[in-house]
Amino acid sequence: MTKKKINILDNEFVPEHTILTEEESNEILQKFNVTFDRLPLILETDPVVKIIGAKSGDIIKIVRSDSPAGKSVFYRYVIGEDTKQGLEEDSVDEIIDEEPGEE
Amino acid sequence: MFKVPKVIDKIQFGILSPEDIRKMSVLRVITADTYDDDGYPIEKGLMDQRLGVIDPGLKCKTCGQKFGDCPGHFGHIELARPVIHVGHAKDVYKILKSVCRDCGKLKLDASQREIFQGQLLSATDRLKNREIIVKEAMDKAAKNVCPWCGSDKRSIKFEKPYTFYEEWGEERNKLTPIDVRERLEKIPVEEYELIGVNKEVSKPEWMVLTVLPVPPVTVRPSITLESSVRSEDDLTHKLVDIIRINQRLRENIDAGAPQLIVEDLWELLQYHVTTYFNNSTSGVPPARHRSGRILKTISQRLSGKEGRFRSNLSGKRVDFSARTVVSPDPYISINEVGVPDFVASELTVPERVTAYNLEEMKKIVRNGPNKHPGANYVIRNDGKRKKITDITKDDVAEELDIGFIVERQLRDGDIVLFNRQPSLHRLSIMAHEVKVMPYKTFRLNLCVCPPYNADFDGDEMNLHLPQTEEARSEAGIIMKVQENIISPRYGEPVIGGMQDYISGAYLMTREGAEFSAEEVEECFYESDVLSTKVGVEAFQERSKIWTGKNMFEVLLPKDLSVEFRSKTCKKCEKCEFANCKYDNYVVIKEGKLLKGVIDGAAFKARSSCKLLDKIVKGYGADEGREFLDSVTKLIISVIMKVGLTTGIDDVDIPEEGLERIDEILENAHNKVMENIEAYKGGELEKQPGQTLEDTLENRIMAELAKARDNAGGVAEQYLGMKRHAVIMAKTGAKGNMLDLTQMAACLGQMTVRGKRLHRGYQDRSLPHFKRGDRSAKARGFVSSSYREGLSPTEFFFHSMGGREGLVDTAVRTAQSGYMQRRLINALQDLKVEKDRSVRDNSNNIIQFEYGEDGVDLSRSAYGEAVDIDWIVHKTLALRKS
Ligand SMILES: [Mg+2]
Ligand SMILES: [Zn+2]
Ligand SMILES: [Zn+2]
Ligand SMILES: [Zn+2]
Repeated sequence: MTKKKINILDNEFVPEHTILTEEESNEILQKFNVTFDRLPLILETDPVVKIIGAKSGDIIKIVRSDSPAGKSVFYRYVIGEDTKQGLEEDSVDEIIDEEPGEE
Repeated sequence: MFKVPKVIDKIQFGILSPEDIRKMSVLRVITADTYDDDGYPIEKGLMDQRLGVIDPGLKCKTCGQKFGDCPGHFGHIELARPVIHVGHAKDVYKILKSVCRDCGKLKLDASQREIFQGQLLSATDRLKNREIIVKEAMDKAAKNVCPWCGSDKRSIKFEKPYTFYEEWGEERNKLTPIDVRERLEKIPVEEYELIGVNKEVSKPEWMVLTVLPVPPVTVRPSITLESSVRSEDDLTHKLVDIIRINQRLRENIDAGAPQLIVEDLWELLQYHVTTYFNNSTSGVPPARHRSGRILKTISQRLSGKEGRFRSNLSGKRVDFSARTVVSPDPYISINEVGVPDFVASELTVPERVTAYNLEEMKKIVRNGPNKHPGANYVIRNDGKRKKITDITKDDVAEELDIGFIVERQLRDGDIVLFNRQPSLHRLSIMAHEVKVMPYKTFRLNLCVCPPYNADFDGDEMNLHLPQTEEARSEAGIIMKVQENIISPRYGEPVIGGMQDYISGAYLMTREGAEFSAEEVEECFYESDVLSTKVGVEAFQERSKIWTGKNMFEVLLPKDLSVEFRSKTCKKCEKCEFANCKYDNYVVIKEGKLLKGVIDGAAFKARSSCKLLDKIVKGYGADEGREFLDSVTKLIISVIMKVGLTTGIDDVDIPEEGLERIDEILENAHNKVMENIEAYKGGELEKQPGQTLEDTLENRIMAELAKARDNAGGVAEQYLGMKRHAVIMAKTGAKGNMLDLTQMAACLGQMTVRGKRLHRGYQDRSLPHFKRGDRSAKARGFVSSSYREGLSPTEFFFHSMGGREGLVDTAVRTAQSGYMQRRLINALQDLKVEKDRSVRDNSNNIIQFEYGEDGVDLSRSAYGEAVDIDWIVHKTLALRKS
């Protein structure tokens, strides 16, 4: 069997992703009155991000059209793997995570 | 009143230095003993009287205050050798890795240092905060060779929980806490910032303990048992261990004992100090009491469900609350809660006396504490709080003046919060109006049971009394029961009719239900709508016959028009809508019930009912409450006249029906045997992706399921609407047709994990069968009905299937409870902002529009943004008129 190359953007479940221009990015930050680091994040290594060629520091606009109220818009700030590692709690096992136990 | 010893202005976290520990200590503890033979605290022991008082009557030897006033005072232990503080072990490891073993500097060259220091100065955003920069700097340093002194590269290994090694080449050297401390001491203060230590309050070497604080005795009081035997707190036990080992270690060192012995004792001291801080450290066997019980040390006091945080800080016992059993009262409003009079006279509301309520307050005070509605305390203008007794009540009433605060007893109409655990959603706490009643239970309207998930088999509920005007009005406006009829979860009513209200509505509104004028007048009188919804003049004509539909429409809003299929709809091939010959299509036009029977589809709680939600959404919560209150009272009044009961004869089936059922089951049994024969003879064809056994099993399961359904179908033909059990099932009041056919015809296949029963004994499910018997009967098919009764083997099979259900629910509740806790912790401070975005408390955006569609489910149509059918219907109705 030969491997077929699949473009994941063609899948109907993958919503539309676009990279915002500098002005558009600023507009969004202004509209919500936040700095870029308050936006939801997405990894540079995300399959869709790789395909559309967004780089760390970009803001991506995601438009989903399956919402009951028509289109819903979402923005994500692209980060690199290194930033992700910095954000991660250095040891998950140290977070005191009680078992459900007697509850 | 409680005295506030100190007002907390701010909190600064840091590490205690040995000097700090000595400075706050009132005593160096050197004796491991607690009390002497006379029961007197030993000087310089762990119970020394300078550490605070725990006996009433004694005075503190440090501050001279009495028990309860003295907060207790710290002591300290001088450790013979330093030990690692387990809580800091990981930080020590990270620091050791990144600093030079010789010069103590961070292993970064000048340019790298400058970059990181520059970043620290401007560290503000979430993606590059101080912690992340420090982590990056330390990670980088850990990989370097020291650029300052060129010391050789040796790596540090950390063995949990508190052992450090240094490795180079093949060699390996253990670092004692002394070595560790020395290295940490070597680190210059200029480096502190880059290793994440705040130089104002901490030094890294303080993470290795040389002095141990001894908490005051008030923190670890001993308790005297009935037999006058003293029992010490777990912390004291642990401290005794520490002092003992510490002493032996010191003696051995002083006597010049061999290195090996000293090291063993040192290790033991480390163990005791470790378990003193945290007795559930992984890799350390927990310290135990003599009885074998695991000791509860500092960490155990704080963490977990019974810890300080979850049981004393996040949740505590509160005043102005009550708890008792709940019982039903269909005659109070859904907004009300019946409060026993003895509860009402205990709970109080502070009410300020004004010119407008002076007389009223005087009257209340004159009632005193023992006559409801009375008052228990007054607070005078000078701030003095006085108890009202039967003797003083008249004097207090005389003295009462504007500005006083009267703590009056709970009375009718007060707003209270009512709660039933587990409080899984916001409707588990709602605001009710008080109705004071005799007897000892809280009374609850049955329509409000679903959101609380309450029943009356002994359930208890809590009541809380808001103490300020703001709290009361807020509760009354947004938490009132009537404001929560529509669920914020799925946009359907969670408060509404259930059980008899549903079957009663059917009995009242079905075709042919007729009532005399006298009966109807009585019903309306009983449901408190006579003269409000319908005037007495409507009953002038005594011979007039009312239909149930005529009665029902009295309670509807006068301009309501709505059409829907009733629950009893037979789902005919071609729906006749308004012309339905079974009267199963409801037509309400301008407040008149023209056609159709009212049942579950109209106003049942927790269903997408079509009438109640229209009233609430179209006419408001007040109208919704009024409708529910009156319709439920009307229905019970009617159902008491009509009668509704169920019995075993509701599932009786004539002989001929039973014969047909037997035949169906017999045939199925034969088919199963044929399949088994085919399997044995190797003639069975394998299904793709399945083994031969699976194929056989699936075929048998399908065959038997079909047989049960057919048997049920036959039974259903005889189960007509004359039988009350069927009315309940078909209207959605209680049960379903499957339950009834299981009673009347055949139970069907019992399963465990979706498979026919086969385990339990070797190659068979029960010892009554031959090994390897695959027949229907031997693998858990129950062909009897509940009415007939089960054979012994069937009974066992039934209980096996039932057990799985019980285990499943038990496991599910435990798991969902844990998930709920995690979700609540993650979501508790998310908030919808003015721009409709959802943000957390550090202003991070979670959603750009609430729910990504901005829809408030409680204002939606069954979860959808708009109800197109309803809008079209309303528009058409407008056009016609
Ligand atoms: Mg119960
Ligand atoms: Zn004291
Ligand atoms: Zn160096
Ligand atoms: Zn129909």
